[in-house]
Amino acid sequence: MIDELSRLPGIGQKSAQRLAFYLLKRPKEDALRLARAIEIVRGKITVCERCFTLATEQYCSICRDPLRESDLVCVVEGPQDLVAIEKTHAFSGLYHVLGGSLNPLDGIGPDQLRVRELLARVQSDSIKEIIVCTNPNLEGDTTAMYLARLLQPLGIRVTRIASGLPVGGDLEYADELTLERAIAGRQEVVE
Amino acid sequence: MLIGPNGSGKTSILEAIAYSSVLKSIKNDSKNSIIKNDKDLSKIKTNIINNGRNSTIDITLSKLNRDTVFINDVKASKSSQLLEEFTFTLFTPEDLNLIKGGPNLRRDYLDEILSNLSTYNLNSIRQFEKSLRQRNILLKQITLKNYMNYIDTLNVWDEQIVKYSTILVNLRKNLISELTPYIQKEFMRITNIKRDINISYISSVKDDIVLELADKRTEDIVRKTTTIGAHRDDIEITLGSLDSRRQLSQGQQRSLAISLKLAMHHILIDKKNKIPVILLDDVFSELDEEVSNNLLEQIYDYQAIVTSATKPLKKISIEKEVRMLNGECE
Repeated sequence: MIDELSRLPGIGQKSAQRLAFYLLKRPKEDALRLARAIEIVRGKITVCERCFTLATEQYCSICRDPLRESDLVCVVEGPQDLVAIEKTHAFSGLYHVLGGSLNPLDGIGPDQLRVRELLARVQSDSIKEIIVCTNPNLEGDTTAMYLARLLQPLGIRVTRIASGLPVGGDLEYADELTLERAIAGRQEVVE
Repeated sequence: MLIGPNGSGKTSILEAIAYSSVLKSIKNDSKNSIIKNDKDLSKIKTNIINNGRNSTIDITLSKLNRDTVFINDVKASKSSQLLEEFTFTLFTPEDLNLIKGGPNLRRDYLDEILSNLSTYNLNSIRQFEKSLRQRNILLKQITLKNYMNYIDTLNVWDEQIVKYSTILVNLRKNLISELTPYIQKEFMRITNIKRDINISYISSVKDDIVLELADKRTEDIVRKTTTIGAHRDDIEITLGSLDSRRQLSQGQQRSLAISLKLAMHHILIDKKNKIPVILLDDVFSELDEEVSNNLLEQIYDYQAIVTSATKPLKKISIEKEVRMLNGECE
């Protein structure tokens, strides 16, 4: 059990040992409830056939929602990014999970990502705008650039999520890089 | 001053001091070779007195886990916190090749100063290096036959190379114009020779990096590496009308190399308002007496930790002399 637990991300040998002893100490029912939860979820969860996020049916609940704007698609690297954006309730379009970002060092090119699927969606559904919400690092930026070069010629508006200062934070504590991006991406104060 | 025969542990002490600032070996040794063969852990404890403020740094290096760092008994979360405590300027015998050696030594020299000046610079260098690694790995997958499948991906990595190479080259050029007067001053102090020193940036890009990178694409694919960019550049230093690489004596080249390092020390003091500790690792064995003595005089105003197999001849006041033998201080 310790070996299995220590394979989980962020769990080392020590933490695995602690978790294992904890599960043995708790009533048997508690431990089995966790085991059952894992079993049920793993058995039921599949991938949405349209946006490739996690789903329990052929299409995920977002893709099935008739109230979402179907001509606006947000491209993210993984399902966890989708969850983060959903929490804001600020986005009412659909998603597309790429499955990573362009990264030759890790052997990831367009064929390893769901780029072809995105292209198919763009051609079959009437999508007007794609918002690229990949991570604001070198690979994420490069992926955004790649998608823009690919999709703009098809008449699709491609936008990139803004990066800058965290809301409610203090300017003086921001790191120089974030500040630099925030200055570059400044906006007119609305009258 | 640490004095002792080869293998007595002098450099290990400098290594420990440097490690307390950058969490990295100055000799580029892996962590496992720093830790004793039959042991799992190694500990470094450093006391720093800076402007009357005392601080302690405790580092534990482990073969199995990540290093742990405590500054004043509080666990540090970022390695850059150590740089806030103290920095150093290191002189090693390899630095004496700065003029004569390959262009990579001179690029690293400029980039080291840049990264010490700001995190923006450091990040620009890292972004460039990463784009370059990514593009080179991609080039390894591309052949002239399958080229069309990769063209779109290669295009975007080219754009990143163009962006970050241009940023880095501009940073280096600006640094050179600020650094030149410092080098001139230090060279005069070390050698008593007053000559105009001029540094020009030799770029692998002649005019327009976008066009030239595109022109080189076939060659890059065949050679499976990126043939132009900031990583192929060099600097040319002239002393009066003399080219420092070809027309100076070995002694003058070494003096100029030391001037470059001293200039680095001074520009960092002026710009960062922090005085680095000077670490001199066994450079006297390679220098003649006059230059050695002038160098000692130049660093006299700073805290310097010096290793040497023998004591330099001139009676310069040394605060503390430690003799070392077989890894122990006498």
